[in-house]
Amino acid sequence: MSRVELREIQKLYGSLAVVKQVSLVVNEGEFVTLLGPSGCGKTTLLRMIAGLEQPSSGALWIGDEIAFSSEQEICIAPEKRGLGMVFQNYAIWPHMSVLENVLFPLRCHHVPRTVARERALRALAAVQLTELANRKPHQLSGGQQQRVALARALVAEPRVLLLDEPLSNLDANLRNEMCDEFISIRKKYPVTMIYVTHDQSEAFRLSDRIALMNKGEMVQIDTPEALRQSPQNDFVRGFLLLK
Amino acid sequence: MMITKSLRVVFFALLAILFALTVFPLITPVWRLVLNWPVFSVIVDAVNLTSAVQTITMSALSLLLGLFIALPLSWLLVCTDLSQKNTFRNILFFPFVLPPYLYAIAWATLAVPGVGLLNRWLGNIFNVYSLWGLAWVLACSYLPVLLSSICHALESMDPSLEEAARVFGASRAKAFFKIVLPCIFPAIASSSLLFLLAAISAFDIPALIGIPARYYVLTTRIYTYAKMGGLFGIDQAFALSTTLLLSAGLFLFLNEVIRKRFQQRLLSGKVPRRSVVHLRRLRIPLLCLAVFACFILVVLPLGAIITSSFLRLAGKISLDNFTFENYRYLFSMPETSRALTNSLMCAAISAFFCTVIGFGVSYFKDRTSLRFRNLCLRLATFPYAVPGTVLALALIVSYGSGWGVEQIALLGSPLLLLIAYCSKYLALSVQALTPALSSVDPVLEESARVCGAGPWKTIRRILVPILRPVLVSVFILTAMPVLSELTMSVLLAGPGTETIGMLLFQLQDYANPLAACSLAVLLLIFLLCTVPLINRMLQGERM
Repeated sequence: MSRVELREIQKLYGSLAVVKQVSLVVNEGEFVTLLGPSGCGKTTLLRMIAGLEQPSSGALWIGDEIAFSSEQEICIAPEKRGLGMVFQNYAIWPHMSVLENVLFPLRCHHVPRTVARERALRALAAVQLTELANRKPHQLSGGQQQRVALARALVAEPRVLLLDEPLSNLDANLRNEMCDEFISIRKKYPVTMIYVTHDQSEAFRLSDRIALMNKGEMVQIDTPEALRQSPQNDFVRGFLLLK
Repeated sequence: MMITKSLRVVFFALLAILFALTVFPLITPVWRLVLNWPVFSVIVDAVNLTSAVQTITMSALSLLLGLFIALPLSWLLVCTDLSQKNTFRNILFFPFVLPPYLYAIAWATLAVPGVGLLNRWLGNIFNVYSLWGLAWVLACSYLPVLLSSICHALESMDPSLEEAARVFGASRAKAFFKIVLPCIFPAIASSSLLFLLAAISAFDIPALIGIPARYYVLTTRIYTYAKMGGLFGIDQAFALSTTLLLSAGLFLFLNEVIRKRFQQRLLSGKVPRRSVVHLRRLRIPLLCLAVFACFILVVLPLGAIITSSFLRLAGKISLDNFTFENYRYLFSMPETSRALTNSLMCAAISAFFCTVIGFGVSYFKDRTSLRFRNLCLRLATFPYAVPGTVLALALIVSYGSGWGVEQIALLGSPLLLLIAYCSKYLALSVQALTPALSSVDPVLEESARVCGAGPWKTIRRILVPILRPVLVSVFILTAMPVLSELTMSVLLAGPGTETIGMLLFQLQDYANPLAACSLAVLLLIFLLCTVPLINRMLQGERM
């Protein structure tokens, strides 16, 4: 478990700023949701935390280590940041079985074979997929693929778990079920979580704190209750449909 | 995706390799010509002007013949309710995988005055060694270029355009000529340009059919200069070949103009199913016509090669003339095993390099934002449009002599052949791999990176296994033309580095045309085997 700190992170595409001077601290073990309308820069921000995109300026700490700093010209590669991530379309590797998918992060971290197998099976059990361990991804339903992605992201016991709109491809029932799953997973694997969504109900149900974004800027960071009770401006009121 | 230092190093190494394969060989001879400009007078030599005119006549005539066959056939295959359309299509498209000189050999055995099989059956009426013969053989062998493009255009045209014309009162014929034909015009024009480009840069058919007919075109003239031109032969040959290079450039430019101008008309993607013309009473006659076309264009020439490979005397089909002697003769020659080994080795090695380099080029194009990635792609693809004769001469000038250092003079060495094949056929691998790579979601690699795999491990463990079926078929796809290549091999190979194409050329040209047929049969069997292999690779492993 680690804390994540973003200091004045900015991302420019040419002269267009898609993320503007965002600062944010996510505490150890906290569940923070980046919430906002499409195109507000929340996924870009998450990808910058993951190291899949390089910020134009600013600094980023994961735990006690600097992951990115424009001043010190440091940029740690994504594989060296010790994170787990669940992608919007799951990104399950089609040429590997379910078990191989979950084993892959452990192999990258040179975990001995027998230990790795045991841990992968434990992760699959945590998402109730033990029986499907030898299936290929195309033989799974959307919900099952989602569970594989979750098991794969958690198996290496990452310092921080990043989730990029993980429920947006599921139907309403399944979404509910997976929300419960996330809550129970948090109990089994205590981990710092950063969750991206445009769906308020998910955000309010899951988060310790919500960071509301608009047009690349951080508008308000608060607990769900505080956000409802004291919205800072018209955008927050409008987006949350508050009177 | 973020670029690591090692990826950047590989990228610049790749750029250097592409420069060595394409830019350097083409710049060097041009520079030499600039220094030695009087050699350009060879272009305006009366003999060469005649050859230029003859090249244009031959290409234009073959294009007319090709369009005359391709237009009605495409209509039959796409727009009508002709039965067995797919079978016809498979047969008619099959020559795509055959080297054009097989057609030259086939029609030479069929229509040589006096002893040709057709002339024996029908009375001495055909002479393949003539302008018409030459144009016909060219038209037959490059027909799939026209057919595939026109069929595809007809299939992807929005049928509601034609249906709207019908609703407003146009007859079916009027709707076809006023709506359909103008709509597919860009496809016709662009495939005609590609056909012309292939025809003017063809060496094999003009050499095997044109030279005996004393009909010289630019490529055969260039070949004569290079092989028998004395001290300045190579320079004169290259000077003359600049005309081919310029016309190739012109054709590609025109093609691009057509593409841009008519972009909105070149439709693609999923379109509603088009209604077909019911042939009714014409069904049987047109079916016969389609069968006849398949017979004349594919079955007859290939059948002639197979039959002739078992004949003792050319042109006489009878039991007592049946023999295996041609095969025995073929395998008794020491050149045969050498040529087979050389061609197989060259095909395997150059296909390997084409696949690896092509993968690199596509990867950097699709997965990175490095500055010169588009240049990389262009460098890898443009030599495919450069006529083989020009490319071979350029390589002789830039790498052949070793710049005075004998140890690095490559003329006659297999290395020069490999450079030529890689340079020419790299485009095939890049064109197949780029769309395949872009169809793989980058998220699959990103998730591997987040899981802890470095960029190389991600390529090795994620991207390559996912693309394995495509990579294997790209390997076969590039190995096939190398295996039967003739135009460049004839100029670049020396004693000891003969290839299958060269051996076929020599056998057909002067040594033993019937043995040439036996070698052609072996080649044909080999190529036939690879087609289903590729199909299976692409379909079987789809996940």
